[in-house]
Amino acid sequence: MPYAAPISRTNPACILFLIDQSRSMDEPFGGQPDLKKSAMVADAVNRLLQNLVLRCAKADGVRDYFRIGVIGYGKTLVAGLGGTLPFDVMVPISRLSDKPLRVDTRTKLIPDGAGGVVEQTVKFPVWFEPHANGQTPMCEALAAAGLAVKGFVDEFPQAYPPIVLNLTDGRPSDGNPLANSKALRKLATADGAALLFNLLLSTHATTPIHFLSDESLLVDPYAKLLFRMSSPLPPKLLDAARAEGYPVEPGARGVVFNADPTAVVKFLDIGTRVSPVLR
Amino acid sequence: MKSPSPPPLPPVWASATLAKAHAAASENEDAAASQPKLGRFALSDGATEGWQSGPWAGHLATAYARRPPTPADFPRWLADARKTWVSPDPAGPVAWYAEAKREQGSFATLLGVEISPGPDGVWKWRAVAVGDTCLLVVRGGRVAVSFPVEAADGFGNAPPLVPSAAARPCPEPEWLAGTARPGDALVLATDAAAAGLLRADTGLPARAAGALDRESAHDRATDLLGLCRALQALQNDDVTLLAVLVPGQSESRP
Repeated sequence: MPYAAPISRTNPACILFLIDQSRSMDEPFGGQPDLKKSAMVADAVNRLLQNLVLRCAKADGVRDYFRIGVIGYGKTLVAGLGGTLPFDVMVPISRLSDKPLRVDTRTKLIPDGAGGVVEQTVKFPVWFEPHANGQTPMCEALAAAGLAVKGFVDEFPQAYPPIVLNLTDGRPSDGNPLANSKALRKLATADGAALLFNLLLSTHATTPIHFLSDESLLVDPYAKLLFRMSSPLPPKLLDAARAEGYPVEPGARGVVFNADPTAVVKFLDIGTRVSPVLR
Repeated sequence: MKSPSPPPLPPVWASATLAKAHAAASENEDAAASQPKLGRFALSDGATEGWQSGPWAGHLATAYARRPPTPADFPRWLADARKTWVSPDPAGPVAWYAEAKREQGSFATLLGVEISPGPDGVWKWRAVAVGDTCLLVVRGGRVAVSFPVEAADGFGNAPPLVPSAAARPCPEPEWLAGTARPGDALVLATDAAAAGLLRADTGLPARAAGALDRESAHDRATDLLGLCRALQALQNDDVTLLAVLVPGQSESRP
């Protein structure tokens, strides 16, 4: 059965983020004037990375169950997390865990056991900083992602298929990305084809649309394009989306429109649900 | 006429364990403990994603062998086990992830089995389980009872686990009691091993019982280790078996 390979150090999972870093990413997010899209996305990615590191952390160190990469696309194309373009984008998670850019201290509210809440200090590692400048070279980013994914599937041909998550707030400035996305989705391990999921951020407060299965429900040609670029959700991710309360149907694509901050977090969570068992 | 009494404990027993393929033996997070003279046997499977899972699994299994809980006092038994748990962490400053992970605590399954002589030559057993580590009663080469998971397709990816942190609630344990006849094998098995033993028509349960027929403790353990390898070939995981032969009148081996 495809999309069922267990995750191990000999067959790690691959998660690659494509982050739009165009100028418009510094605009307000979801109708919240004090929240920039770039800052919220960076926060969500850092939080997800933290959770992945914690999944892999053992007393003897962090085990390399994941290869992680970030490609930012704006004025230029840059690899994050200490990786380098074009051939060394994916970083073993142990390398990531030891070298955050910094570890912030934040406070969160937790129940005090008596019906109230108290503030608790928590460490928040930062690997990825918000950035916004230039245009939206999405085709170039997808081409770079294709190279990174190709390198991974060549090195780990039996692994769980690579997952690529593209977070953007606008239209590509460098052409039609459909061909690049198709080429990326053709790359495969023995366990299935690479997965490409897309999320479109919204400047305004609108209702997000999650995981559609029917393109005819979309009117906007760019929304249709993002739908076509996106992979269908494998069965386990369909189940994960259902468990989160989304009424998804078989054939639903990994695509979210009009995303607000909550939608970004859910998209990252559901999109990165590889096997829950690490071997 | 009065039936003969069962022979005294300890019974013939053996155990074997195997770390995941491609993992070091030190990374095996299953643990077994026993007090054969008291008829107590326990197995625990530490969560792969947990912190210090192996030592916590060992602590739980040992706590059971030292004093098995009853349904009425399980919360107190667990509170005692948590109180005596010391995570074997190095002193001094640690990485940010170690600090966060340590706060989450450790997690492991627990299966404890206690046997005692009953009337008419039969033996009574009582088992407690949190999670998917299983007791299989093998009779005539077949699985007669499987607890708490009853079928090979009943294993999931998120079994209930006993947390080490007092702030985290423990899932409700499951209890089962039964009787066994002389010659039955009680096989305690971690999830991957139990799933393999529950597959239809493999003959593997008979191998588990057959290992107990060997004369020496070394041969019994060697046979059981061979069975662990066969079970791991079906599913790559830490694999641990602990098999106990229900004594008859003539069971008296080293």
